Amino acid sequence: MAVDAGRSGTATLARRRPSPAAIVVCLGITLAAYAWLDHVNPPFAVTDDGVRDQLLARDCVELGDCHLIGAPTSVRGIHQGAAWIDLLVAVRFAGGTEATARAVVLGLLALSIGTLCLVIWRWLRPSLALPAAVLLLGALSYDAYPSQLINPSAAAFPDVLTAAALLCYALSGKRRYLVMTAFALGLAINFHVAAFSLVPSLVAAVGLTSRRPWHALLLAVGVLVITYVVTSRAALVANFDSLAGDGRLPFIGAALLVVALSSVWLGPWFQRLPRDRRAWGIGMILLLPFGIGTLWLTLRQGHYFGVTYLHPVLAPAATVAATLISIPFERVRYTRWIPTAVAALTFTALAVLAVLAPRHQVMQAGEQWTLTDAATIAARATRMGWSYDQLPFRLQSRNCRELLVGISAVAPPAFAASRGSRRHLQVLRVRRDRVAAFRGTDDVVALEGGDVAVVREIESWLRSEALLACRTPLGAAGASVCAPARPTAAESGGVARVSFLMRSFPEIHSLDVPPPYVETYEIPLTPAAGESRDMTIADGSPPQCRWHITRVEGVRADGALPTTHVVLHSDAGAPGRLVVERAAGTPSCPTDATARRYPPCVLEMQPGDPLGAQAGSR
Amino acid sequence: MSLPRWPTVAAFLTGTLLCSTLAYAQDLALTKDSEFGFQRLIHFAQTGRLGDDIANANVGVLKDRVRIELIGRNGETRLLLLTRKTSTLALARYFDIEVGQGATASDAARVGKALDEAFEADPFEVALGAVGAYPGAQRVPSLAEAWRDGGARGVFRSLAWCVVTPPGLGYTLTVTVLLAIAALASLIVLWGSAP
Repeated sequence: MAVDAGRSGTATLARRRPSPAAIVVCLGITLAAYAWLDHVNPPFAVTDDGVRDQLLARDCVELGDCHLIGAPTSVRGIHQGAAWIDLLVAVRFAGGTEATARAVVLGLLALSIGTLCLVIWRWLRPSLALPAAVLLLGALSYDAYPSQLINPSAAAFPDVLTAAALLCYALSGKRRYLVMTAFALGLAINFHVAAFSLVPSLVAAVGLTSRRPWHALLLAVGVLVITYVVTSRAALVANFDSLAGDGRLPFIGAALLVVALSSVWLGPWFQRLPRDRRAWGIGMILLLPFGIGTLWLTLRQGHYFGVTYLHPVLAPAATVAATLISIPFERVRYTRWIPTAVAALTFTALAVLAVLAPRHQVMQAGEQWTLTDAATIAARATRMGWSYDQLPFRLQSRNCRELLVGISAVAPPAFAASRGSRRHLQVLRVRRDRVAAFRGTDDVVALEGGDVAVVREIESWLRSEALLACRTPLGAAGASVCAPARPTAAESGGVARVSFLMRSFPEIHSLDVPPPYVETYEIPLTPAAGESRDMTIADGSPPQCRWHITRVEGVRADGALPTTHVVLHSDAGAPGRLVVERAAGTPSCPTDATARRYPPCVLEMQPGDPLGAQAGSR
Repeated sequence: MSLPRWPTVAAFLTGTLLCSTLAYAQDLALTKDSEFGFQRLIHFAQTGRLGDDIANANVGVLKDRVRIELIGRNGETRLLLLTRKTSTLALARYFDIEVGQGATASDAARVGKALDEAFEADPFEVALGAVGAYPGAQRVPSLAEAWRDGGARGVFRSLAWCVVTPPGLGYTLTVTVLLAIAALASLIVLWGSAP
């Protein structure tokens, strides 16, 4: 953060007029960044968290059930704020879709990059602006979080606003930047709680910068709290309650008080420092609390660390990194232009690449369902007379739970339609070049990526809605616990007024035993006399967590058990039972991967069904 | 130290505005904090304070419903179902008691008295749910009603309900528009800023 290093240029800077060239260049950077982010980010994928947020927004827009609290975080008892959901609500209310929300998120991220570029250009040094912007763009391109449409997706935007306004405040002492910092921080914590690490930065910067620090602190805290209360007071109450209950609140309060007292004490010294040193100081103040917080979270709390948590420090880190990279070039007059030229070339190249090259595809056809696929299949199912609420237990496909969750995000509100209890809806994804054999026999719909899906009704042997779920501890400790399948929200609460969220994540039991344990589903069979069925487990679990058919009762099975594929024969049509199980909570298959409380997908075919081989081989 | 005037006034006005509107509260539920009260009830049963004919009690809690099974000396059971109080019957301060299989009105009266002794405060709390809060059908009592029902504690609880009451679409959109305007203003100020 070298500011006017080697020059007595503070007075020169103070007289400098805002340069329109900076705005033009940084607007160009914003556009190039948007083009690149749109290019590298995949379409919105079906994930539990992403769909949950869409459903919360649907609850608000379509049912009027809005929220003042967001989703629970991975830190027990702590919740996100509601501002992220409010953004999705606004997009939906304006007639937008998930694609619109993705464009808004990418636009906000691009704007963050442009803002960082401009603030550094104006407040630090023009030669650092483009290198810092390109580094921030690189960091925001690292993973696909932006298009997952979850809390951290757009979190970098309020974080960059916070860091930029805080830098302006620390270098100018003007109150408007303090108000902006506090507002942006209230928004940032709302979007993702990791931004709470910027609170000590704000406290320290105020204490160091202001000539009336307690007055300024009260103003900042007031603006921050009002911003948070207006949007997410239920989250504030819940988080406050949780922190107080765990005894962490006094510790946090004491730590903030120590930061405030020490920074107020150091304030007069800090205010006498040259401008460039103050800029370095603010950079460190923005980075340090995050580092300490990360150490506490990972070492003390045993929490995992993901790169997605880095968003509060992306802007200061990019600026510090750009400064460090630029230092060797800045020493020689003739090489000063090199970092900026390289950054400008990079932006140009990325923009050209984004326009000319084909878009990034991360979806592996046949493995993951996109929301577009789910919408296509939902529309076809609706035309066939199926409502979403009839699909739990009766949807057969690969990764059936993911498809079910995806359909829940796009399906129309529930309606009551009668459906024979033996009928299941089967969705089989096949390659377009193999679909000719099925034309005229089944309903075929086109999917993203060139595949097609056969959507058809079948007469099923499976009575999954009457299954028995069990968990049995491995080893000596504890007895097994079992429960029948819980009715879905629509069945138990009346279809008309069940929220989208409540109906859409089928959790059919709430059994809990200490890990490791064996997870079992006993699914009743009602076969037809003289018929056979080819049963294949088609779950998307990783190999070490794979389900197996371990027992068959009442019907004849070909081949040895356990297996993932078996052919069953019924001579007299007597009722039977299919038992599937797997070990969970083991080192190779941790409970995180098995937290879902829904039976694995079982694909059911009549022997000789041409779709059997096609679906199996895809 | 002098307090800055407008932030203090703004904070006070916001708090008053948020808490003075009549609205509908969250679902109320029994949390783990109520466990102690029910343990006291079981202890009353085991020590004969629910009557000489009662030897023990089983308690099952599901969200805002409680199933109490009184076990007699001869092994017979009497079932009582508790819900949050909405009636004016004076069997218990915080619960409505429904007489179930094998139980009589006198069992309900005895258990009601014991519940008043076991619970010094209203055990029902706002349920935030797995993904936040859901709108319930409970109306937030006015401050006067809250004072009549529970004095200062009742008023505090009423204010807490008021704070976490889910808003409607209108409120959400208004807040979002205000946030968008404030964010846009911040951007304009930053993009137009200079040292």
